[in-house]
Amino acid sequence: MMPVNTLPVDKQLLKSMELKLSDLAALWRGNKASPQADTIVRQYHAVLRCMIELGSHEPLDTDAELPNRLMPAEYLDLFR
Amino acid sequence: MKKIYLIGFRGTSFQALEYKAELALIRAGHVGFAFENDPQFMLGFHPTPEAIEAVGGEAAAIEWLKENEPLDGALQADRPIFVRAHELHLNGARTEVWQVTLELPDDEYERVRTLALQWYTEKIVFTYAFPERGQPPLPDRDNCATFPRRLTLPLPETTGQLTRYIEALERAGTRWKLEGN
Repeated sequence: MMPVNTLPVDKQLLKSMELKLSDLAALWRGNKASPQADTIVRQYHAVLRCMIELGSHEPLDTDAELPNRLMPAEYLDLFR
Repeated sequence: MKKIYLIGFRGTSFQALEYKAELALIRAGHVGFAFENDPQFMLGFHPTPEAIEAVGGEAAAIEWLKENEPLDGALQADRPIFVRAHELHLNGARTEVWQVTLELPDDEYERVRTLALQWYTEKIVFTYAFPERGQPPLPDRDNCATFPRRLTLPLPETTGQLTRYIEALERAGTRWKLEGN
């Protein structure tokens, strides 16, 4: 269980990160068979974990997600 | 000049358990369009029921699309989807419905309307896929947000990524009204 975030949430920063995840998910779909794909997934995980740590517990848009098999457990666990 | 409305909303997501009984388009988010002379008749492009069934149902179809696999799609009559999104928003969901108004010369409006109605009536199939980046553009695939380009309509946001597209609708548009404009 993640500790409750009691610090102020920077909504503008979280929105920028959400847009970045949308871009990375689209980039992964366009490059899933390329050597870049692993790097894209690592960057996606880093941004999403950072968002969660900064207080975002909202689900992403569906097309901003990677397939569930590639989504970090910290994200999927938010909704179980 | 006559008006065409591009209309869209953010989905509740497929992760939020409280909305798991909702239709896939409510959970995924959706974009459609309507014409000035009958704004209650709203068309949207999305996978056909047959295509969804062929890959194992709605949840499987979403994973299929997230894997960058395409599905057959067609224009479908979607007003109940937008009405439901509006209702859910009034109860706290993030599915507020937005619209952008395009103004076209009368002859161009009639050309677009006739073509869209023909595609709807004849159930013409186009390739549906989630937006992708980093490759040369693939002109023969669309999601709901980019499909209006096939009718030569200008898009308020060109990637079709719903996070970006709905933000653009909010920025440039107005709140959609259930009772019409």
